[in-house]
Amino acid sequence: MSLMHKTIQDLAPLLQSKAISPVELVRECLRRIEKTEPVLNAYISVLDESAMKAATLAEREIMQGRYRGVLHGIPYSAKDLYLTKGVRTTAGSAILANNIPDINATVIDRLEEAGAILVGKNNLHEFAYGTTSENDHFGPCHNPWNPRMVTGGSSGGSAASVAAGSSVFSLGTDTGGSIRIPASFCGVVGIKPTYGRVSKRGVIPLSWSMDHTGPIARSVWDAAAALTAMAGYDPGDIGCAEVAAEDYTAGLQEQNALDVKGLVIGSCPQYYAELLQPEVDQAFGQVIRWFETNGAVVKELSYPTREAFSVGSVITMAEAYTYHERNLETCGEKYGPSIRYRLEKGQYLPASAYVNAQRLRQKDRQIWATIYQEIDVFLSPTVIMPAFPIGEPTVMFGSESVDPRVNAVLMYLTSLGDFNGYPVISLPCGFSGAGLPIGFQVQGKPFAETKVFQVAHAFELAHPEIAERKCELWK
Amino acid sequence: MEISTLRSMTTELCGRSVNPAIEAHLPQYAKEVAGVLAAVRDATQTFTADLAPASVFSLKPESSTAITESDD
Repeated sequence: MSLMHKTIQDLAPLLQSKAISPVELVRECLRRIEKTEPVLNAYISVLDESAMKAATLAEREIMQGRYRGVLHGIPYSAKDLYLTKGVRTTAGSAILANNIPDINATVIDRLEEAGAILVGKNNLHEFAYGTTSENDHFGPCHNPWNPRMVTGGSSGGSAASVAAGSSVFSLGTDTGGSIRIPASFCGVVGIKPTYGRVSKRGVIPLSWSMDHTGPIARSVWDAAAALTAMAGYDPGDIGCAEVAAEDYTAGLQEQNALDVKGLVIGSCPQYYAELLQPEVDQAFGQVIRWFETNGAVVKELSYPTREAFSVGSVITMAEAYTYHERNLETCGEKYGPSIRYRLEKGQYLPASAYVNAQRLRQKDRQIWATIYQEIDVFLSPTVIMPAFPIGEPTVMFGSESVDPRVNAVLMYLTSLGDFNGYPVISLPCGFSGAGLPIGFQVQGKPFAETKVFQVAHAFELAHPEIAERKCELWK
Repeated sequence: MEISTLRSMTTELCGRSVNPAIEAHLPQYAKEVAGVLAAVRDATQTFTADLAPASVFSLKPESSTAITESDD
């Protein structure tokens, strides 16, 4: 078994006790990248030299008794949307093919302080504006469970590398579901924290008011450990909240796992019932039954603002167009065709449409705040279908056949969390008949990441057979 | 929505040129934008006049009466 098959929770005590060295671990990570990249195409840049240098430093510090914490010596990767000082940051676009930033994103600095070691920058859907990670410039990301399938996106390379053991955890971003969709398609855990919980400074924006940053990892505990290091106020980010960070792993020990008895769960089956593919419906049905069997109370709600899905897209369209307007005029031909198509559309929205979309967002938040007076968490499937083949021209969205590259079909259940800004985690809950992972989401109140992690952890602990199942490429 | 309206928006409102890539998509944009704007109009039917927009760049507990900090 490779060291890269272990979680942060397994590796941290081994590193702290000096049973293994960060040098050994990073070397093994680079070997895994070399082995899996011809299949996955999950990385745009691999940082062999700087990673080995950081590993040597970490080894020296640990040997001298200066252990920094659970991420010290852990190799990780970041979506190539996070600025990295002196390291090319492309956003998956030809426009930034030679972009060498002179700063790190705040989160990259925070992870460096925690002792984590950046091994590479992950492939993604161009400028994070898409959900398949079929990148026109760097090639498509391939799903480790079946390389003919998409990874989901836009953080596709991040999820694929974590699932295949070529990084221990990775950083993603989520504007309409870009952490949770690939986490679901690749069978790993991804959390979109509360809007403002984690700094976005130094992360190339898609939509300033909808963008979130967060980790993708192999377990709930690992995602909690990564988020603990990432979270906290940053005066350099206008959207960052002055809310104290917490140790999210504190409530996640096996011996004190959350008892779900009495937990009140909200669910809105009528919102998606006719859209779910049968295998997703079945897997999520088992999730609900497990919670009920263990004493949770499930309340069926009617979805408060169904129009949030279509109206919410106005915000992203308008903000994304604004960010890209100058490049669209001066070098529009450098964008991939589907991205350019989506971006250009944003110029045709009147200001009143944008303001009204933000008004709906306020109404949506008010309604959710009322709903959360009666529930603890809200559950739904993550995506209405499992992964589909790369290049598939259309997928079914109800009775409609749509192009998943320009239609928001994969975001139907995830974009709502970006719209209201509430924290949501996606974790695996089963597999399709073709062996492709299926995920579900746990949403909580604003800044209630601790509760979200605890509920997800309780389910994960009770279903070890799901986490233990690994893809072929894992070997 | 008329295609000529979109063409004017690109040139007159946005101060840009209508290049062939945009031109080719105008009929589809006309259809899609009309659909999105209709959805927005429908949604606004339920708004009360005093409904203010969400605070765009924050979800700070103190910035909205609707959001309460977690008690976890």
